[in-house]
Amino acid sequence: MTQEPGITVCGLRKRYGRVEALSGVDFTLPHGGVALLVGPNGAGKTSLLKVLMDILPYEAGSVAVLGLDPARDGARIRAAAGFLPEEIQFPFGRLRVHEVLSLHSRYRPGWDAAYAKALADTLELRHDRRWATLSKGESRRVQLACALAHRPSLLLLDEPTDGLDPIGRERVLGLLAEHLAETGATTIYCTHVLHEAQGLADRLIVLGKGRVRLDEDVELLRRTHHRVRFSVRDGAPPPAPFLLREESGGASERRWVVRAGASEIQEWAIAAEVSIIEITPVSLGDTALAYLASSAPPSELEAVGSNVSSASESHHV
Amino acid sequence: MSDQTVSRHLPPPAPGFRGLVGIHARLLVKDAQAGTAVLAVACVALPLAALLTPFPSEPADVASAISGPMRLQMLMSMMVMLTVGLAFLWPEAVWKGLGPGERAVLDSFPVTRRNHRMARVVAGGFLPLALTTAYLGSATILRVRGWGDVMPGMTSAYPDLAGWSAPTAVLVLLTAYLLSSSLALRFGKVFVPLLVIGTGVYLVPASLLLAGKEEWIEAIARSAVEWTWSPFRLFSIMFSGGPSDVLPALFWMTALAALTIHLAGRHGKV
Repeated sequence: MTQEPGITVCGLRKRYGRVEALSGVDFTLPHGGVALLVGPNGAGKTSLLKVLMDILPYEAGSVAVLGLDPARDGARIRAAAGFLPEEIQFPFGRLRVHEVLSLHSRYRPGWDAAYAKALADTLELRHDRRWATLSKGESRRVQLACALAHRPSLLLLDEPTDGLDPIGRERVLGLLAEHLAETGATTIYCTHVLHEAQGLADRLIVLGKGRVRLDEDVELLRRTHHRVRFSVRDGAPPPAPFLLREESGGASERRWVVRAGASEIQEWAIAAEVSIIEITPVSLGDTALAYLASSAPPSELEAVGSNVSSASESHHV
Repeated sequence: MSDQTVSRHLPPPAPGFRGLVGIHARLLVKDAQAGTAVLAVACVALPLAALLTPFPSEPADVASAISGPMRLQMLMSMMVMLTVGLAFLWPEAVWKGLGPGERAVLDSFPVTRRNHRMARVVAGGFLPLALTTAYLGSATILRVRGWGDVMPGMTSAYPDLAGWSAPTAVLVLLTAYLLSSSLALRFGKVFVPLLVIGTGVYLVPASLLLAGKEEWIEAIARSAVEWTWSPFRLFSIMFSGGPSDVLPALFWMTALAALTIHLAGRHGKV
């Protein structure tokens, strides 16, 4: 991964009539970086991917994909991209699977027929079936083969495992891991199922209400975010500057997701006179949830635990 | 590697416009629905029926009281109506089923949006042109065989059908096709906008005339259709197809072609 920006988005705004889908999105993904893009339904993930592909226009801000402006060089960006849309519809439903692959190959000078065949075999595509008769999972697998077979240097994947059975998911994730290792493609991977793709990513971007609520390196997130279980003797604990989310606990126990290292948490516990039961790392999914559940604006979230030091181990007290 | 270097190593967009037209022409055939097949059959059957009708030696059909020439005239007129109707409605089939999901797929291909959509418009235009060719071919054969008398139309009240000579037929059909294509590109559908326009053009003035009986309204409505450069005239029975009608037809066809090209480049409904 080089440090040159693969994707740079600055102050991006996108409206659908009166509804603002993206209200000032900012992030930078280095060339070769792999970002997980998460957020609730309607957060603007799909809109963002479509703006990057110049499938949708945008009202304000600036976007650069592989150094190109989608509004001017959309076709060149799409030539370099493997795009897996959220939808499984295909405009030509009567085409058979092999004809769908053949159609894509005509558009892609870099189409690798041998790789396409290997993908088709791995994904167990049934070449003689018409698109309109495919199940959701089968359609997804065909789409994935079409998106990867030209060995794109940019991957924009919108829920790539949606509709797949567990074995299919594993195969697809394995294929993606191989593809990323081979091509070093700059990738945005949209998903609601974080745990299945977290091994692929080096960056987590959380989108909520059209804005970036978190954009951080995955390793750093793992080191700086913890779940704290502590017991409370008398009343509520004092406020902590690093609290992101309070999870359900009990009468005598509290569970917090915090942005803090273990030492900061322990210092706070001594000062606050609370008894810590356990400090454990938080999964990426729970981290994302903590940022999404918070009602604080993104600027305040950035300030939470901003002077945190890293500590990766779990602490049992 | 700098940003500029990254963009320089991107693959070029492919294929070119002609290649795209070829792809979409094949797709329209492969993805054809039953309706298209019916039209294709009609495209061959109607002129064939017109040509095979025994004329002029066959005696009048007593049972139906329709003579051979009359049948021939009717078939040719049906051919005209079918062709015009098809030119108007065919873009609905060309752009059928292109909802947001399908649109995203189509727009994700590595070619410019304008080229891609215009390629489909051009590929879709082959069928109306084939129908026109079939009609004109039939008409030419009829004339060559000395049966050109049937061409002036169903009755002497509609001499305009006589004007369906090669250039004007192509112009009117292409204009109709481009009008509907631009509606498809702008609204994602053809039939409803066409109905609205048709209602506005014909029913509203007609209702006004009937309700008010005002002379000045009648004058406006009449001039809207009779004026040589009026777009309404192009698709009405007033269109004679004579030399004076060619230039306006050419003008409107060019204007609609420009509109279609403009709309094809926009992020839009299709």
